[in-house]
Amino acid sequence: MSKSLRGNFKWLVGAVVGVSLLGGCGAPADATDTTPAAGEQTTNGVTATVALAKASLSAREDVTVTVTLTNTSSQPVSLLKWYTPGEGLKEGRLTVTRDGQAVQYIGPHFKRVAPRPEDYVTLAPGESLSGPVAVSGRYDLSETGSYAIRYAQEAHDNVGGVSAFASNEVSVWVEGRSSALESDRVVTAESLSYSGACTTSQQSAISTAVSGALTYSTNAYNYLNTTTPSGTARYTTWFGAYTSSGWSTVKSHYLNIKNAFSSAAIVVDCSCTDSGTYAYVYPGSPYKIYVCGAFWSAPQTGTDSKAGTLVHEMSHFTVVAGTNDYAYGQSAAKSLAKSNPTNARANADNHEYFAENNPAQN
Amino acid sequence: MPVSLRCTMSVPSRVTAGQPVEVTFRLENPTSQPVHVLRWNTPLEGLMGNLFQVTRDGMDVPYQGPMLKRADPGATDYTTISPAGSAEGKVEASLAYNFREPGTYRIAFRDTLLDVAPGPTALPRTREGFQSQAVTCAPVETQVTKP
Repeated sequence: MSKSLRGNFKWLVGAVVGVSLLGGCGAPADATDTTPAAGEQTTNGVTATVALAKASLSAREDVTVTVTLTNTSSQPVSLLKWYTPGEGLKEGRLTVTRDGQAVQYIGPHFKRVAPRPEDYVTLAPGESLSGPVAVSGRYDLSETGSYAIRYAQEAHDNVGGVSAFASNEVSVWVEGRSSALESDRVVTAESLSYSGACTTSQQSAISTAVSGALTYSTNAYNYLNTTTPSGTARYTTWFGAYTSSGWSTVKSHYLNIKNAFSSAAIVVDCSCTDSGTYAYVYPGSPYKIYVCGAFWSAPQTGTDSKAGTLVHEMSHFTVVAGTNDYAYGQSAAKSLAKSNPTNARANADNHEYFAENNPAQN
Repeated sequence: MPVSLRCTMSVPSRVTAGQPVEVTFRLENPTSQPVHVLRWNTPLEGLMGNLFQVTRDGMDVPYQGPMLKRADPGATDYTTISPAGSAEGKVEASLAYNFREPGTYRIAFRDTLLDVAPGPTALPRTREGFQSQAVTCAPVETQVTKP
């Protein structure tokens, strides 16, 4: 679940770092605060409880609660999967408040057709259903404070006589997300591991390249963050005619790229030996990067370098920048910037070359 | 000088969910000269990149296959299409795009051939020498039905 797309890009890093915390997907047995004082039971016999694994969470940590629904009646009950925990829950059925004030739901909304029979899950008498429900990415946790979370279903959420019910409330201290993620982070040791039988010398070259990629992406982000947005030579060469929205888009890409290099659990695989390929990724499988034969003969920095190749690859991940390969090579990338700036801003090599900035432009 | 290539695609009009979705891609050379086409990121090579824009009932279906950063090509990365000849490639699109949900899927080729070289050109060219070219292939649709 930590790999799922977040409603808000800015929280990507929090999501990533939260993985270890949520390793057990919040299984109640792992929870330190399982106190789920019985939820408010209703006449139809469904009880809801909410549990939380920690009482306070830093801005880097994902916030997820475990919701358990139990049929305490002697009859089977049917619940609409759309609003129950697990794979189906896609909409806010949590009530979140901070210091007594309602917190806005910022996650996705879905336009639904009428429910079909397969959209229901049936709980036998005594049966429970339990699963994680994301709070970060779905609710506005930009402010630091004490958040109270409860789960509730309304009567019209279901058919067949299941009336409204609500859970107990859990409280958690959450460090606001906005400040921590936007500010320039102190570069910490990235989490880097290897697969595919990388040799010791390959591991050493990869580690240097990851540091180089972090430097490139941090410098690219800082350039876009501190330069007055305009049609600078460096920007227009790689991303085409200046627009303020284009500048913001690219800036957000480098923010995500640099954050991934500084904090994500990156795995570099050495099993590919094809000399015609530098590297590849599966865009839906962050943060695993496969390096190939051409990677080893590339310079450490500069055009089509090891460090630049890693920037290119990192930009492909859907959760990072979701770029495509519309053009390869500096010449084609420059042409793309002229002919189709939208695609240039969605092209991996353009991101690499802007970051490599070779030859240097201002 | 651009060579005008004609592109067509086809796909079965109905596919049962879970079955292969085979897309046939065909390039025709209507000119009187041979033409060399770099196969990268076209179905002539296989499914080695996000070649298609796929939608299901209007919603984007993300690409899940590999995306490669490539070094300069070799001569064998090109296919030569003779005058009035054609080249065809078939890919199993469901290997890299999720076609398991029933619905109407639209498949559009992302309209760029990365390097197209007229007959006498010495091959391969480096990436810096690429002459890319847009081709227009009419998008195709397939109906995925429940098993």
